[in-house]
Amino acid sequence: MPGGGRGIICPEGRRAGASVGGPGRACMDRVADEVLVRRVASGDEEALSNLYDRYAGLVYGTGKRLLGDRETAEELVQDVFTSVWRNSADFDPARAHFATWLYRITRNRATDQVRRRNARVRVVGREPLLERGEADPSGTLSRRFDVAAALSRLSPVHREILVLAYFRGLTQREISERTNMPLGTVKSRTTAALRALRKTMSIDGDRRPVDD
Amino acid sequence: MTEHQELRNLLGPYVMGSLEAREDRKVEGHLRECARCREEASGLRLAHERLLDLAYTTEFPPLKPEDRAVGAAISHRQRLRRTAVRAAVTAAFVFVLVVFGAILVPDLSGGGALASATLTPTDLAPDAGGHISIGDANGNTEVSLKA
Repeated sequence: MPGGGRGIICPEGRRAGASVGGPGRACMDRVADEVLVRRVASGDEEALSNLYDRYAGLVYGTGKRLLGDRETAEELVQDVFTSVWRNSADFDPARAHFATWLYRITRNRATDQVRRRNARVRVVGREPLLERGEADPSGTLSRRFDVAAALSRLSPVHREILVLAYFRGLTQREISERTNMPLGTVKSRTTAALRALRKTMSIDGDRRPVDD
Repeated sequence: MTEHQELRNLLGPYVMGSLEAREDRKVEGHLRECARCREEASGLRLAHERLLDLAYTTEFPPLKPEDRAVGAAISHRQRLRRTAVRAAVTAAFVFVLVVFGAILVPDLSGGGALASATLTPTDLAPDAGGHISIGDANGNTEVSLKA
């Protein structure tokens, strides 16, 4: 599993003992992204850390695919979240979801990095890799951010079950053992969670666009 | 619970390919007959594919924000905030002293006496300091403040 169980979910080891949807200041708190950004704007580092837990994995993975190497992708993550910290006061939830805003920052920063790299590459006579506006011609990257946002909006119970299945790669039986839930309940909750995600994605899709 | 409901509850693991063969066959048989469940399965499959795609893309970077550039940005903003608070406290402290001095001036200067005070640091304004003195200069009151 590429995510290794981390990313938009709690990175293992950082939140020892904080089960998904469990007690404590887990990154699975149901605080909406938009509320966290507002807190970031007022200087709340914990809120930034929470957003980082939710989205850094996606930004990093996106960076690796767009930029091609791990080091530059790490720089992109730092760049993007520094930008979130500095510009959080400018974020307007009436215009776009946080994920959409974050996606735009990611795309623009990645494009900037590619342009810088291309400028260096041209010196040795190679073709440019990517220009502004070409970062996501098919909309695939944008869609991933939307799915991440939809996942972050699910109830802790639903999110937990999907995270365990998709990001930690557990089978239904393993989820049952890990959560002490009967196997039948795990199966029906998995169905309910996928249904809720589908519904949330539809709602998000309907209200999306001023800004995208 | 009806069989329809039972099988409907298995649609999630079904689209994920997580059912055992026996259950899988039962669900497939049901889907051939039930249009509602086929439609439901189609929606769940879309969610499943989107999640797979997201999971495939998501990787966690090795560093936390406080470790590098974001941490530097945070520290910078904190420093700015601390500096602003200290400056405000110092300014308020000096303002109070000046006002207090101005009120006392008539009494202090009435007899031609000089008054002075030393500004001392406080917990909130550890860098504050200075000296204020009040005296008579050719019939006018002279207030001297060094902060």
